[in-house]
Amino acid sequence: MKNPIRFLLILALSIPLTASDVEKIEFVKSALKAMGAPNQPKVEVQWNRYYNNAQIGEICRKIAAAYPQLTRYEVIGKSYEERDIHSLTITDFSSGKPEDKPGMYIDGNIHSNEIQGAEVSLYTAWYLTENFEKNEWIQELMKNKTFYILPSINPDARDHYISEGNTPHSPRSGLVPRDDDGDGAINEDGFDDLDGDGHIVSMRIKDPNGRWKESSEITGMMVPCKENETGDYTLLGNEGIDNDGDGKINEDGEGFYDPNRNWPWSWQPEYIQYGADMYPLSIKENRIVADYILSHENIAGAQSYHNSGGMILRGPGSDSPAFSYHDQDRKYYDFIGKTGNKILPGYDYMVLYKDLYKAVGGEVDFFYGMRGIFSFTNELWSSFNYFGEKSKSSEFFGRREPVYKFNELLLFQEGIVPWKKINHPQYGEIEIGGFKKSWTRTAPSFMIEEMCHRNMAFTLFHAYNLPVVKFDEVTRKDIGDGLEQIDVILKNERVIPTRSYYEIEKQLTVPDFLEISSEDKNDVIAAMIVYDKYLNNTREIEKQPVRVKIDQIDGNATCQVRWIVKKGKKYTVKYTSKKAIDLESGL
Amino acid sequence: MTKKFMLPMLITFLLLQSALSESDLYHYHTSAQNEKLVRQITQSSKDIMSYTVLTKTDSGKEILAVEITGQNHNTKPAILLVGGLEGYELTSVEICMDILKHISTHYSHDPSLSGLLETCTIYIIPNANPDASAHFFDSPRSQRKTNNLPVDHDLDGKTDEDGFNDLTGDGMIAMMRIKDLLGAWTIHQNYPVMVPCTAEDSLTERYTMHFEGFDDDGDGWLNEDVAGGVDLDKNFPYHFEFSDKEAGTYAVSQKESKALADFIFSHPEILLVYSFSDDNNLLTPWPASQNAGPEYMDEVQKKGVITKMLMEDALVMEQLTKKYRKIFQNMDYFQTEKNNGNFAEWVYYQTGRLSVTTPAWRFSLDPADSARCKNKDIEYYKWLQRSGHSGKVLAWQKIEHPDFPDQVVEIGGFLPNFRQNAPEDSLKPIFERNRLLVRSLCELLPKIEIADIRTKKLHDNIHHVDILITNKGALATSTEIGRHLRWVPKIRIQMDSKVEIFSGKNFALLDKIEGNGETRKVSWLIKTNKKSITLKVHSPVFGDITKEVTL
Ligand SMILES: [Zn+2]
Repeated sequence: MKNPIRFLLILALSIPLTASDVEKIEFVKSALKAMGAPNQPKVEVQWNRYYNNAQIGEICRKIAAAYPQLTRYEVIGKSYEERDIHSLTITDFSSGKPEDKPGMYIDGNIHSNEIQGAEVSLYTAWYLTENFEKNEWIQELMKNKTFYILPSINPDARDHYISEGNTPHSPRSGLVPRDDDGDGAINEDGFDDLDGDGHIVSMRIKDPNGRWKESSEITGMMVPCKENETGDYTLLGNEGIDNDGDGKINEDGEGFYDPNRNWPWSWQPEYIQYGADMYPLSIKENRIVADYILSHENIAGAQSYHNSGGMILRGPGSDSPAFSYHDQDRKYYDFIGKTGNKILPGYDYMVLYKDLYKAVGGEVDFFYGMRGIFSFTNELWSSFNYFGEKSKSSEFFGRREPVYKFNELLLFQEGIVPWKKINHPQYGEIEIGGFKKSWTRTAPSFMIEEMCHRNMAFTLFHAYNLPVVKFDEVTRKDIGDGLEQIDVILKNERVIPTRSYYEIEKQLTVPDFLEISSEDKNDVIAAMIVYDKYLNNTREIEKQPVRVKIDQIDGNATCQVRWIVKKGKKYTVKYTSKKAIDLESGL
Repeated sequence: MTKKFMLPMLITFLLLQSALSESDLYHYHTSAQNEKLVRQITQSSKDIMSYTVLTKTDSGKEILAVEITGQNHNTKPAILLVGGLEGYELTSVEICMDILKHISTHYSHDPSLSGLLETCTIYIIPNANPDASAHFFDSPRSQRKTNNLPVDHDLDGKTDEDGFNDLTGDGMIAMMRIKDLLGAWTIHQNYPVMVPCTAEDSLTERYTMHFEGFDDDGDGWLNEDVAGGVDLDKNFPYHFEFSDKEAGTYAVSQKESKALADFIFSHPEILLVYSFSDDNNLLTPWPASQNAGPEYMDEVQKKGVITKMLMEDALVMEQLTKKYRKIFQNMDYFQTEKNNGNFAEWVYYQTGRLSVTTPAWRFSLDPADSARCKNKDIEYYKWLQRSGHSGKVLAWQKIEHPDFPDQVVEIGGFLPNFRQNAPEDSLKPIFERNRLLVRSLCELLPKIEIADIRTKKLHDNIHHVDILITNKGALATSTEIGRHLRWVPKIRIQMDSKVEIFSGKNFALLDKIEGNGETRKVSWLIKTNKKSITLKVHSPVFGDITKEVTL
């Protein structure tokens, strides 16, 4: 048997191989393999649609079953509505425990309508495992790093977005019920899918005194009248009814809180930050995910996926000095972010508070503020994707014309519900029409795979640059009087330091340590950190010379420790770091 | 009250009286004893009070909340008492327990008390932090206000590895002084009290000061990572301090704090919270804005941070201060700086309720003492002498310390945990004053009534309807800051009959109604051939009031 593991797997997964399967395998074998995806992946996934939470779980379990040496699948908790929050731990398990390697954390879909982050996360898990065997760069990466992948951290509302009537912008919130309008009733007046097609579109009513008309150039697009024109329509907002008779439409739907304004560190209450909810991590899913992140002290980099606008965002989200980032950490952010500009055409590396808007209590700030973790938020799907031109940032979801044009020329009108008449209990005869929920903020089928791949590549670049520390030099020399001098030089071979300047300054995390041991603890006489070996600038470690505290090992830099010890003994030095692999060397 | 209730209540009263003998009332109880008492008391008075378990701590202790409704079980405005926040301070726990016992034993024969509970509810969480307060009974006894969560205070990768050690074996963790030229402490000239060195005593003997202990982990530091934990009164989100290791990893990270937060948010009828802490916002009011609420809130939104009470709410606090000063006369003691992330400020700024906080007890300063100074240790020493507790200072005694073989090491000074807690013989007057304060706080709560319903027939079947709602209590129906927080509910005035509405909506929402008689009006223009209509006032704070009027 050529591949016994695979055979066992097929048995374990109880996938019977039929004659037509064999035929299919032969058929793909003879095709020319394109760069990228393998011709015969063990786990077949089509990257041209959006999966619900149960399907995400199924794909995760298939990957874990197909690659037990590279993957661990876990449900880290249940959402408010008792759905699984899935996680995959991905690393080369044969080369060390996952928690000993620097971790790259990836999640998607905290905003439920911003759906495609889950697919990018899943694709990352799939691509890493499927290409491990043949690609040396990936082997090296998985030997040195661990990936923690949580495709959807808001599963209730993801499923709501998929299966219920929604706009491209809803629900955004999770589904923990809240009284949005303070009337004592909860979620009593949300959207109403008047025609039951699963899409909440716009309502308009014929009105000779209206101030809106249909565009003469683009079919179906509503434009405001000029001052000297008369119109045909009044716009009535999104599909809905005044369900509770308070004179308002759709004022209290699913949620509402903003799951991405509910995280500790820069959190501020409702009157400062809309959507903050009652207290940090008051939302069940957020608390589960935050505790998961905090319990993995090896996480050194983090990536969250949102939509849309083509952005590579980093914090801070606030201009307050209390929540600013450390100046010295900026260069690492810039190094990763600017490379992102290249990997992701149509995306811009931006600082949240000054290039987009102010927002506190965000997840992106949580990583950095709590643990000094370098973190990015990508806003997937750019107006650049329509016709290779990016709208100005002031046009948040891009100009509408290219969206309609793309719909006409490439989607053959599929993205829009054409205006149609319907009877409304309060307005009488009206028309409804407009963008479908799955158009304008999400990639169409034929562009999903590229979106997944390029964003993954950006994240892998970040993961690659997380610290890899090696012993650069370990020397021992006789200095007379029965003593020896031991010099240990550690080197970080990647760009990101083992601890950020912020976590050092705020004392957020356990520092690195370099320890020496021998049979008798009195063998070690003294220790010092060497700042300049040529000029002998050192600092003596008076307390506990056997365990030297190291604030960080900077990117592509070294750190030298010197011990004075008794001659002729056996010594072992051990380097420990939360965000780098521990090392040991005998002398 | 009907006579039917009287007999069982009387029996209850007698039973409890015998269970709670005088001698048992005025001393400190373990949390197990208090848990048991709460169960007994609520069981024997179950028609007027009940308890729920909010959570269990890591060591399995329960955090209990008692709801005292009296005979009126409807929704009513409420106050909440929270004891035990400061961990090493147990006086507040006993104050809360006393109020519980007092109401249970006095309800049936004190008409002013049973009358008060007709219009309000009292919630009591006697001990919010039982794991911390359990250390009061530890041996050796040490001064510790944190819960039991293992914390790596010194960031060496290990938790709780270097705590105190009882070197003298007397069951107390006292102070330890080491003679050291580099020390910053010296002995005061007039009192046997250690004070920081100043220029004047530059030539005196110098010491370093520590708590009793070894360097257990051999890292060169003493007691740098004691057991536990998180200080509950630092674990709330108002100005939470991330770099303070005793504040917790993030705000509301602890079971204890989450239980408190969830309890308050799920009880919108709680309008005022009385908690016990180092702070005293009745003696020293929190800073207040000079601008009116809406203007100040604009400023807050722009700056992204809130630091002052709203002017309107600060005025309300003055009313409470007056009541407090009347009951607690001549309060003269050292006030302490409040913690960042404390509970009391969070209650006001983020839950939108009125928040009152005072220390349960402090050693008092002598107004007649002309030699009063600013050094708390010296004044504490004098108080110990004055009040007959001189035994709470230990004479310095030399010991052999393995970590300092060549230095003079002595153990002595103040005994732990006494300074934070009222001596048992002074508990009685403290209890009495707090009973009075809680009563007068309850008396201030708002009271909502339908003052009038006016109807006017404009034509056959066409009517104009006005409903007038009045607040007859002293306090407003919500705080001013509550108008900016969604969790503070509005009062819903509803047309409860099916009629055709020309003007007005099915319901109107009223926010804050000021106290002492502010009246608000809601109007409708309706068409109906009914002879009468029903109007309904609905509020999660004041309950439901329904009224039918003939047209
Ligand atoms: Zn988003």
